[in-house]
Amino acid sequence: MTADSATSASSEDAALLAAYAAGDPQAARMLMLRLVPRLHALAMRMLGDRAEAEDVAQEAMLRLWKIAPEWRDMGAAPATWTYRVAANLCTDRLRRRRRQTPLEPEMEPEDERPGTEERMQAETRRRALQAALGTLPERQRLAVVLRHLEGRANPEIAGILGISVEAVESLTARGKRALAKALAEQREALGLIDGT
Amino acid sequence: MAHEHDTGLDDAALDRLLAEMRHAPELPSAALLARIEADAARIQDERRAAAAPRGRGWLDGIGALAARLALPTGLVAAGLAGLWIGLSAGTGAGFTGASVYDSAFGLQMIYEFPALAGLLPEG
Repeated sequence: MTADSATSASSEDAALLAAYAAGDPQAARMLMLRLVPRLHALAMRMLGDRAEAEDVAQEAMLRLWKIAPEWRDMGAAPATWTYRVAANLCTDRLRRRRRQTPLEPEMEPEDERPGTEERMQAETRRRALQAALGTLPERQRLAVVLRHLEGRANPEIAGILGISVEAVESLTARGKRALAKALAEQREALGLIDGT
Repeated sequence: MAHEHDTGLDDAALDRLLAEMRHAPELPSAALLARIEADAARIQDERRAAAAPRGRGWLDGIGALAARLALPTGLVAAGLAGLWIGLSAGTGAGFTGASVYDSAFGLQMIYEFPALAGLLPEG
């Protein structure tokens, strides 16, 4: 996403939010369709649990609906603001999990539908990456997910996490190194041999 | 390469994996979208209700209930007229237009339901 298109998307989001606050129900639907897929993907990648990811996405949007009339005072784009809320909700849940019994990443039932070997291999890689992400500290995980899976720019991530761009670069670099290490032993099983 | 085997995947392999996963996000379910849209509508309704003029007392409740049940205004008016007639009979007062307009209760009903005025007998 270029800086210009990001600015345009932000102002469209803000206009939709203002329309919602003024009572337009269609604006709520349009804004929801623009924001929720990415919020849900972020939460899913952070938490690895569909039910929890849905709760986080719903709660982040609920807070947006509630704050809509005062939006002009918020000083952030709606997407960035909701990302920040979702990120904090995910972090809270991860910390709560850690205080309770350590959980294995959610393992979904094996997909027994007929399919190609490539599709099964891709699913294995997805699960391995999810498990490896689960080994990272929350902030590193968040930075890696936002930068490398959600494709957000470093300045936006800095806004979401409330840190400097340099700190974002440092977090993502450390996160990637930790991921590489976590996935090293599975590289052959995952079809990630160098040069392939 | 032995060094890379010791420390992890090389950057290129990890970047390929991340790129592959970037293009395969989990999409939200229709049920989730429906819940979020319902939240939005509920918050909007609550805001509208909070912004509406207050202080009309119990007749607000009757009006809101009637609106919720989608009762025709005329039916509500007729029901309230029936209530008025019953109350009048109990007190022995005659049911006339003047008796309604002379009472605070009657005026409140006319204010809330202007269609009632058309049901009142003359006098």
